[in-house]
Amino acid sequence: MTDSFWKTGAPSPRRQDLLWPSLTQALRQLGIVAVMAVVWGVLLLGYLGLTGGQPAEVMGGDSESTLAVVSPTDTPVVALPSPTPSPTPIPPTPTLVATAEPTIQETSVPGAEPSPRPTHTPVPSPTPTPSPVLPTPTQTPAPVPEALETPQVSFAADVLPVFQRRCRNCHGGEKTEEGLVLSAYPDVMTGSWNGPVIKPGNAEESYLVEMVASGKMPKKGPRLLPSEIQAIRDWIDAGALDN
Amino acid sequence: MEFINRLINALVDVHPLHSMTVHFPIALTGTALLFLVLALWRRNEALEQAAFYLITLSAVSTIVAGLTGYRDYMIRFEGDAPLVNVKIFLGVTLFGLTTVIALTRWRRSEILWRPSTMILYLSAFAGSFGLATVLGFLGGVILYGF
Ligand code: HEC
Repeated sequence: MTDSFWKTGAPSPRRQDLLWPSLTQALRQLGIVAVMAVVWGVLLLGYLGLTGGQPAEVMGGDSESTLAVVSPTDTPVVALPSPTPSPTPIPPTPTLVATAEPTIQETSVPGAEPSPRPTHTPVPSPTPTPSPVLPTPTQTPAPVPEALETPQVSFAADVLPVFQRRCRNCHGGEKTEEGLVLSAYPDVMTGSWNGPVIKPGNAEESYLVEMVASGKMPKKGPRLLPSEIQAIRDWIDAGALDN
Repeated sequence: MEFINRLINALVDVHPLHSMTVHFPIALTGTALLFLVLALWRRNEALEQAAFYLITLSAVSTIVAGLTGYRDYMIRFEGDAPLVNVKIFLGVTLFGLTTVIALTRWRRSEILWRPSTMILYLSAFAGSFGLATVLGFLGGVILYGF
């Protein structure tokens, strides 16, 4: 009755009654598999339609489109079989918060000073209090937008460490690919053999941003994290200072 | 001590947890399929049982991979990573499929040996391995581009 395992010689139960499926049985099962695959495919497409994900676009996607495919609102409710479907609101990236004034609702602690940078969903409510005439110090919007427009980004603290961690092997140190050195501020601003790769005040038109946002750089290895790319963007938009 | 601290720091803060845990579902579904094919070839019940254990473990490890994936998505990528929709759908399917396989095999241990269910059972294993590899590829697209 029993066979033995190869080499070990341990007894192994070998079935003597194995029956292969007949043609009808095989066709029936393959049919079930095919139907289930189609149903699943339709569900997948419907789900992508509902959530706005477009795989084709994502796959060939460049720069922005790749990163912006999944907006926070797209987070599906049925995310995981965990009991808590995404309770964490995703903080918006602090790029265009100039219109938002720090209001009372925002700071959950009454009486606390409004922070210079709103952390969560800035509500641009026009009248937080019934009497806006009162010269409350928190209601003066004049100096606020300026402080908000340019998030405090430091080259030495936020940008250079990213370059040193992720770019140094090829741009700086031993190799300087394309003549580009990213190990100190003057070199970064000098750019490559083809000219500057950073346009102070204009991240969108800076070649370096294009390269990291599209994932072309770092040439090998994982992309930069969105927060790292954002730091580089903010730093350039703030004038690409040596700070 | 210093080394242990660095090790813990590397594991918890520096290295993405999802990239570590995803290898379990991929490897377990793949090995489960292999053992099932071997079982059929050798007509061996022990190998068939091994495939059942492996697919059960892969269902469990898929939960871990999914949770760490969601954590990395929220924390490392700050809710902004490409292809997440598709990956969540495929991940939930993978978990559902492996769970259904494991439960069905648990209730009906003869499922591979019956001519009327043999192909269905094999296809389910192949499907879960396929799902796991596609998920792995999409993860690679997130990290390295396409
Ligand atoms: C594995 C090596 C490698 C790494 C790491 C790397 N690069 Fe590059 N980089 C290159 C090579 C090679 C080129 C030349 C153009 C090409 O082959 O695409 C280049 C070109 C560039 C250019 C275009 C220069 C020009 O004028 O054409 C920019 C900008 C750039 N890299 C930025 C970066 C940044 C920023 C990082 C780090 C986040 C980085 N690179 C990391 C290898 C690398």
